[in-house]
Amino acid sequence: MNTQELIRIEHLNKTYENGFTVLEDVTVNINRGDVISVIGASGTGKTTFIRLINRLDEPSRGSVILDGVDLSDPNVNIDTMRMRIGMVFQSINLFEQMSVTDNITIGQTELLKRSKEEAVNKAKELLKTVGLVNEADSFPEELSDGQRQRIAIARALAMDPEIMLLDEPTSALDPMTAGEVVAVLRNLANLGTTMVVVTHNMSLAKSISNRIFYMDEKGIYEDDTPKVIFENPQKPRTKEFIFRVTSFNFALDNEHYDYIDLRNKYLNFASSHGIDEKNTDFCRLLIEELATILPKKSGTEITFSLAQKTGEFELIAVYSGVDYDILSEDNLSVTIIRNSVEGYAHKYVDGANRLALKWGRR
Amino acid sequence: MTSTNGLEITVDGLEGGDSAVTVMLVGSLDTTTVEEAQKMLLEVLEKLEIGDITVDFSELTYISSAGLRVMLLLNKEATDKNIKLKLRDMRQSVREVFDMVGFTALFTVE
Repeated sequence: MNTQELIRIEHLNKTYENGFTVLEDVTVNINRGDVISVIGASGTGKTTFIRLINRLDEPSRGSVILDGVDLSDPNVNIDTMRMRIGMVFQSINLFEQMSVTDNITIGQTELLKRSKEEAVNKAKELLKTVGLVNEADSFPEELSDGQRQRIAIARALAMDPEIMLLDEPTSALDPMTAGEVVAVLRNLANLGTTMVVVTHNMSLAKSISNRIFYMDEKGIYEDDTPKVIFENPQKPRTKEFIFRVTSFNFALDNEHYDYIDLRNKYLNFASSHGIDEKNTDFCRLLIEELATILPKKSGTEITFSLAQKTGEFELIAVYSGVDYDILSEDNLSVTIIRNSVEGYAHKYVDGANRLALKWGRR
Repeated sequence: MTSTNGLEITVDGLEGGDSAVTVMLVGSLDTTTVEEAQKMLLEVLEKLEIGDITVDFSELTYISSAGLRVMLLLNKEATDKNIKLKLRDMRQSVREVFDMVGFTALFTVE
């Protein structure tokens, strides 16, 4: 066995009772210090894959060997082995009637038989790691969802696991609070924590991982560095997934349209398509300025799209009425848009204005 | 301290009757947060008789034209009261937006 190797997965197979095989003959190693993001379309077995690692789901065939111990061996105490694996879920389950500190100490005192003092000291140290020292005495219901997820991470870390498995840790959170959790995960990655993270958040995958598993065709279809997977994927289905041209629309069809909804949908889109922070803010500015000056009436709509391959962004606005280029006005929003984009075109076709703005990745 | 969706504002120095007040903006100054920001900033200005207001931008990560308009209004009201407004420690991305519309020349930016 390689001394760096922590988990060896051999010929893993999962077929559900209805006969559907989600994973077939998966063989892979996870090394100490690996930070692996598991990405891919829905239904490709990402969550099943990590649930099989700590036997929350039983494999149909194959084995998971943690530090030389085969978890499918009937003589192995699975509860003891599970203590070596930390798990964080999308839905955040904390003990609501216990303080934050008690949430983090209970597993330590009950299962690891640590003294109360030792457990509290450990909790303090972990609250520092997740940036929530001031919430030690708070109760879960007093915390935001992002803070609750950070406590769930601290609670899992309190057991000193050898590996952390995280199942979509940011997907239940709004984009603003998801950022707090991403920052904590980045910090853990820097501290050398071995992690496997299932995520749709491509910026998270890009920024924290040393390996990406792209899941497709009932297994790990491509296993490589973020640089290769996101910039130069080798296999056809990975290419298709990474370089898909993607867009989202938003209707600005009345004066009371919801800007917060537009902003949050855009921020979700940006994070799930791996747009970095700088470009996320820059595109957000253009979307906000365009939304500010567009006439809010029936038929007004914007479409934001990203060509993954060329890294070009495009923002198209359609609005009805007379032939009128809103960028011919003189105001702050127009100045910002005109100084930011690399190209723009206005057309008037069949009673509708179409304004197209283009710019490249910064 | 007050908090709105995506923006926190801290005011330092006003309670002690100082003539130098520092206002710290943390987060985003966009369409959704400008109303609260404008109210808070004008309240601070109203309470101040003489001296300076420094707006600390170091933790402001995003600004749009909506935020620029608030700063422009604050600058005008401050000038009318003979109070000096200074903007401090802008991040590059925020600074770029100020530069784009030529506002850097209108304000004292440190």
